[in-house]
Amino acid sequence: MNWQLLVERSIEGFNAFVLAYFLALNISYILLFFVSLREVLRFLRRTFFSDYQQILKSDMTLPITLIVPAHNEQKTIVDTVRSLQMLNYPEFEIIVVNDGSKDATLPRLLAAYDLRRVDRVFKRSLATREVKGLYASPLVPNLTVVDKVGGGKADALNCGINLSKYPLFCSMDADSVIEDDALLKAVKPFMEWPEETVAVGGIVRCVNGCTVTDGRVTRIALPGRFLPIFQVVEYLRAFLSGRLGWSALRGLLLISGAFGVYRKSAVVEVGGYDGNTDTEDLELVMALHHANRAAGRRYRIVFVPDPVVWTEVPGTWRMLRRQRNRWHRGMLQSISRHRRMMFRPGYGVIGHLVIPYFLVFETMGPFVETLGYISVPLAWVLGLLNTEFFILFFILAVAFGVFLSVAAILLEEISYRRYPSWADLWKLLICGVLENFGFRQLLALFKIQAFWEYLRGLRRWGRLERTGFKRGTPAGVARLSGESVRISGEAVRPSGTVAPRVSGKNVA
Amino acid sequence: MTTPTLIRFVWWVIAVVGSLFVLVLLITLGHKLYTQIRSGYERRQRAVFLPRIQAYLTAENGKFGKYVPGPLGVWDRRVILWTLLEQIRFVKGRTQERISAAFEELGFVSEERHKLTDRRWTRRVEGAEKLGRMMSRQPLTDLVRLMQDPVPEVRIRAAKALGAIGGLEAVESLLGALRDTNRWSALRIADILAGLGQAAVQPLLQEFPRLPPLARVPAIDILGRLRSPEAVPLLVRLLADADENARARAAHSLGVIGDPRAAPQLLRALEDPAWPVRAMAAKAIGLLAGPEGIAALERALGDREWWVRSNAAEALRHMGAPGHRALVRLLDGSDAYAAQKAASMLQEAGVLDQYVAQLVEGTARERADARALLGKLVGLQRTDLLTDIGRRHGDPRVREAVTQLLATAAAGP
Repeated sequence: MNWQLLVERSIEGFNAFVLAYFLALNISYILLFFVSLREVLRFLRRTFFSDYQQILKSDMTLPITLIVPAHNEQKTIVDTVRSLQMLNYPEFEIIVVNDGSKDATLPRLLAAYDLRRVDRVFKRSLATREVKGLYASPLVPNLTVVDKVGGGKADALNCGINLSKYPLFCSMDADSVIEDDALLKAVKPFMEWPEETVAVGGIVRCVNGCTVTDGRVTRIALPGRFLPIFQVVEYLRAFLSGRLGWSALRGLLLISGAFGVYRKSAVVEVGGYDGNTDTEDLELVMALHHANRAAGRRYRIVFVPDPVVWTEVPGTWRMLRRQRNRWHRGMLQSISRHRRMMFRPGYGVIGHLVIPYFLVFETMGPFVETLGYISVPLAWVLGLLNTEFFILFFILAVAFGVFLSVAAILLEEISYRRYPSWADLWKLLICGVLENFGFRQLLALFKIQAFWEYLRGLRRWGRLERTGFKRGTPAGVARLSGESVRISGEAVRPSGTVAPRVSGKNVA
Repeated sequence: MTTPTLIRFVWWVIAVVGSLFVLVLLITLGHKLYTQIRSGYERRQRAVFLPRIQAYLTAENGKFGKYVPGPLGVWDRRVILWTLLEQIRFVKGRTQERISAAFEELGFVSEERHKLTDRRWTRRVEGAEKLGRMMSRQPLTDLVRLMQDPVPEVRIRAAKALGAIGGLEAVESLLGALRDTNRWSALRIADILAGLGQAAVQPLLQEFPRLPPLARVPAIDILGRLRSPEAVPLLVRLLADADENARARAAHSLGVIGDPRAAPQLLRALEDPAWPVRAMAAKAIGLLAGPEGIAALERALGDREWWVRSNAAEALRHMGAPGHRALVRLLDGSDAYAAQKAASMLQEAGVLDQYVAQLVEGTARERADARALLGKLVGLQRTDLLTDIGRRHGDPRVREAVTQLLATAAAGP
């Protein structure tokens, strides 16, 4: 066999593999969509007459600590705290952890709430960087501000956990907007299955294009540019068609750092958030699975599609690349750390389905996809591939992608209809088609880059700038017509990790 | 697989995916169109019906049909149903009765009663929920029967409806439902019972001995929330119950009721072997005991369990001047934790501010007391707040006095 034949056979073999892989991946997505569809309909039926008012009024409702890690959030932090104070929930405390901010985050909080330094004894269940001071307010008794040496989001959250006094805590981002009833909705699984529920996640939606007034989203609309709309579609797919399905299968691996409610004792048991990974939210959920499975306990990690948190998505390709790069690296780190769960007895759906799925499709996927983009046309150019087949394969690839996007839009349309106008629906549908031509391919390339960096042991963070969301006219305040506020800080992803601050440095 | 076979296979897959795509797209667009048309129609009809409904509600008598004549289409009935359900939430007495009568007259009550026997549990839930909101007494027996439904959510909604409609039958059924094995159900039924008020106290006291263990804790909680003195003897007895959860909840409820007769037993509960009971007892003593509880709380500050110490300190903080004096005494104690916790409580209660002000405004004796107390805080290394006061206090004399105090402490003996 000469070398030319060898190359041809290799390409043919690889193409067959690409086709099989591609079919398996997309069929799994479609199955997941049907599981999600069933789950959405079930959820809607169950909550047709929501009894959230009962949770709100009940003395038995579990109190929650809201932990808000803040690093250089001077522009939004006061508004964020103000909006949190207005959440519909019977009993909660807010702990803002100022994690080594270099700007006026702390002074602005001190001034806004007349905060005074207090000495408070607390149990250091989790090791964190040094706490420099605690501040409480006579005006807002349920607010505590912690000033600590910068240690990253995981460290700040752990510090908040140490200080929290309630059995549940909610992790969130300082620049995200939580809807008023989000806590009521998120706590319901803890009330229904008190002994089993350890974590509950909610849906993250893109705030780009929406109007935010007094820390609340007051007008929902799609952004004007393609890139953020692609991400809106992607988020719908990821949350409504992905996580909901995995949650129904008891295999939810990720709860967004932008909004997640956890049982404190369960988190403390696994050592809290791990600052040594790029995605501490994913790592925490995997650690919870690992610990509970290893102990043979019955437990639940649940995704509830209704509690909504709004967050800004990257507006430029550069920011998107950095964000996705880090997420993918984080996923690789966590999969690698918890690989021992794979195919081991007692690890159930996590060990036998979810981790293998992530390993085969999420880790290898970008490589197979990208190599497919090269090998299939190459085979056609070399005459190894029938033209008709080549065209059909291309059509099939697009058809799968478009179907999955439109299916996610359908889930949104039959359930929550947050984008009410026809114009928004058309935009979503058009972007659901267009994202298959460039956007998804670039995401695959970003993931390959992330894989390479993971192999090299790099942990490059890099600062991600926000373009800011539209602010409405606050009640009683002079009209700020069309004001668009640039919000410095960090990008947030559907899974919600803040990309920290070491600008352009490799922190290997 | 040969190329033609492969091509046929890919064609087939494209056909399936394409069909699914078209189907999903049509459903999405169709659903959007339907919801928009319906919501627009309902909005318009609501504007038409609302004044007529208001006229019916404000009239002394007359049937609903006189104000909103039929025949009514499906969508119109839906508009009227939801408008009335919305209205009934905010009214009481005669107006509420007229809305209930309208539901009965229009056949909505019969429709929803029919749903109670539907094979789909979600329909039964919907029926029970709507009947509860309609406040009609017609379906009472159906709802009592529904309390035996195999689906917990249905039982809960039936309980909720019974709670809304009220009456002795409802209380008895709800008490029976407390036996539900699902804890969430029990908690929700407890809330519904608590919402019934004093009417629930006597039946609950009578039923209590027959309740299963899971239902006892919510029942104890209800008795506390109803703040009924009649429940005190039972709750006091429960402080000696074998179940530590029952003991802890009884202590909590006694604190909520605030009957001082329970103080001796609560003081004894501070010695309970189970720490949740001690923690709840400490909290309760803070709410109801007089000065006789202070010594016990001071001792509880040395408890080996964090929650007991914390609750004891909070209790002293909320007991006013006598409690604050006890906290000041604890600053001198040998128990480092108790001293630190006492310092925190004094700060959070604002007592420190009084002493700081006394540094410059009080009599000579008060100034000396203030210096002594602040000195103790410095000795405990609780200087954060003092340092802050030294920098930011509005009165320059206070800033100077505090700064001097801190400097003296820093210089050491």
